[in-house]
Amino acid sequence: MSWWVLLRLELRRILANRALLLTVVGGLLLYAFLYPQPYIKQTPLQQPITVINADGSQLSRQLIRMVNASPLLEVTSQVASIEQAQQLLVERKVGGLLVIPENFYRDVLLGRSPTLSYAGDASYFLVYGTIVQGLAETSATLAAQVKVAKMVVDGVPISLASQLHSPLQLSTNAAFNAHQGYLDYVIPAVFIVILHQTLLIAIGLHASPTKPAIKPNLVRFFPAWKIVVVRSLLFVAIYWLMSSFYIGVVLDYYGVHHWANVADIYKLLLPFLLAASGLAMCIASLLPKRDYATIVGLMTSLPIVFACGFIWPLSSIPMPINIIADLIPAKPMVLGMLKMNQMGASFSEVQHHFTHLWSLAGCYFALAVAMIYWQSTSPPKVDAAKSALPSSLSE
Amino acid sequence: MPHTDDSSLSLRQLVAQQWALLRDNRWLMAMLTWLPLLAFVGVWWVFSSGLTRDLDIAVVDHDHSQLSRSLIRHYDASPTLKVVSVSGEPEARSLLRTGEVSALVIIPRDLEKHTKLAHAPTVAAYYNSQFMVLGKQINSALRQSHGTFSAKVEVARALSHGNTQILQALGSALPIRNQISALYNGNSNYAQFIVSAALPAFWQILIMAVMILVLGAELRDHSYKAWLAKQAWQKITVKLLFFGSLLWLQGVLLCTLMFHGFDWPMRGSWSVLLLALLLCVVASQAIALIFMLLFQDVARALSFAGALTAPSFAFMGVTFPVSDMPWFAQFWRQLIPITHYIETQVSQANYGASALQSLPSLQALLLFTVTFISAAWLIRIRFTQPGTQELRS
Repeated sequence: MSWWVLLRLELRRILANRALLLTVVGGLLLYAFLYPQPYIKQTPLQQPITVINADGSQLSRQLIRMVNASPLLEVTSQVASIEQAQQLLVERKVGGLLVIPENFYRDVLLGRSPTLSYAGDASYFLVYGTIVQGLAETSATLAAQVKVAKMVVDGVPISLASQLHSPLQLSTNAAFNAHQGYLDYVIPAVFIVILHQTLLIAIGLHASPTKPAIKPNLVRFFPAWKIVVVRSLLFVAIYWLMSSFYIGVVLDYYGVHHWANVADIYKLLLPFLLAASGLAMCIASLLPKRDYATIVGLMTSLPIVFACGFIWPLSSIPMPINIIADLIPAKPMVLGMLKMNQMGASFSEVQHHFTHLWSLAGCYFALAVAMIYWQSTSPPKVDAAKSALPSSLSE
Repeated sequence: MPHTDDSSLSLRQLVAQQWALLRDNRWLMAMLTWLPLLAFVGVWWVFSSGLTRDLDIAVVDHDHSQLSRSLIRHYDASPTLKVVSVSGEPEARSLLRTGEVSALVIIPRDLEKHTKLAHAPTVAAYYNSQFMVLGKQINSALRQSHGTFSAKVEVARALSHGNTQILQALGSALPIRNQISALYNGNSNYAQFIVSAALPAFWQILIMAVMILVLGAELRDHSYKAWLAKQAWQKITVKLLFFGSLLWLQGVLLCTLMFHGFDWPMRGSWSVLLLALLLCVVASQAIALIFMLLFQDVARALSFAGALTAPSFAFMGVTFPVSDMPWFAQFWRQLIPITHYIETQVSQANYGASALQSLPSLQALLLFTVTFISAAWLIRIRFTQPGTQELRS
């Protein structure tokens, strides 16, 4: 009976908490729309570059045409000097430059291997990578054409020559995120972090006092563990729904590839939501006022994204950061979900993330019970808290 | 009540109130002192290695010849790559799926034989592009490593065919050489690239949170009526100046940390940078003020401020170019003060641009102050009704 009473009480409090509903429903809907916006076009194409053509031969003009034909690049201007090219770079008119050296054509013909220099603005890594990739590919194509042409001159049939220009070839293929989209790279992981952070905020808004020094009433009537069980249950249920919306509907809408089957995703989701709720309840019992929940959620989001290991490899992150990050449920969930849903790993291959999440869930559950129990037995710190009240100044 | 209704507060008392507010709120104190410093250093620490080295790749050798072994050694010699031994293709695929290795290279059967017979065999590499930073690096490292190996083989062959001039042999193996330079970030330091944008994004969230908290401290019963009934201008100005200057100092500290502490290059003018920091603080304050006046509720104002500034890192255009964003994202990013600041920072620190070139971003930041006018209008119509004031006095 008391279970039922507590459940209804808590549910009513959730539904009456407008800030909480704004965060969970409004916030999640907004972020689902807002966050992918910058990345909708997936890959930067047609990056503007400038060319310094010191050769002026037929071959150099052919190279410029080839560069222009690359989907990654667009030659927007040709300038005479490095200084002019630099000026264009600083004005952000172009992102890179290509220098075709003097006597390029002649040196190629004489087999002197002339050097093509190209440079990109590395202030913007993605742009830089695109420009360098485009130029490297074009230069390799031109080199192959030159080789084939020479072989043909030497009497090798063209069909054979086009095969022979390299003794052993390499074909590199992008696995998983095959079209190398930025949205596919960022969004699946960031969505998990968004779910995690809004859950932290929501429970904080629910469980922390609305005003400092006001003790939550519930602990007087119900044992701490019951409160923790009921809260976990309710928030896991709400976030089960929101996660299904994010992972099922929104990812699908943006055309992000997904490999895992629904049962496996739900299996991983359960300990994640439990662990995140547990952590949130621990944090909530430390907050002097519920408004701080939003601040904690907002300020931790960026560091958590960086520590999850999808932007920067875990092996390159210092050990102490990795250990701290292991305490955050978002990290094993991001890694587990990326491997399962984006990289096609089977559930048994992400088993250790699953175990990790369950152990976090267990620890945070116990800790939350302890903290709420401790809160209910400790004497109300009215005096100490009142001095912390800013209102005491002018009243 | 220490202050009676009709005596107005002196400037000094107003400043003392701000100080007391800061002193008595541990959270506020933390957010203006050690907490951001911890976060700044923490985020930098994540990326502190700067360059990715020795990324694991799995090589499946179906050939087991001298050539294939020397190819594997050649891959391993690349500073970016590290070859791990695998028992077979299924294991290698599993390692790739679970992210244990970043790429899988398959050397076909009869590699050596086909190379000698000039059949141009193909080595297949599959790199993990879900982790894009890694993927791109692996891809270029593999291509580079393979290219030099291939050229070596070709040179050796040319020499064995009696072409004794090494230079000439090299010329026919590599008809065009490439020289690639990364401008403005010489050794392609990823830490400098990402952290110099991430820290300002974090700072932006912090400014909003601090301003909403300190404005929220004056709410009585979810209303500003009591606070703004008298001396509204003075009170707001003192508060904004007091906390604005602290937040600006924090920004200065952040830039000092980046350009002196982490020793990233700063090629431009410090005064332009400091001005941009100041304008960014003021612009953010304007937004925080208008949110608080509109909602008169800390939780809701924080939610809106969060919606605006939490994704600011994504909208900055540092990780993904602005020119490739759709119109809505381009519009939305204009509303976030820090995106204008970061343009100034990049052009000053990286390009060493003239102040004139940073003018558009600074002007955009200045434009946010228009919000103050609407705030003033709101205060006039909602909070300082002359009728109630007379009634009180």
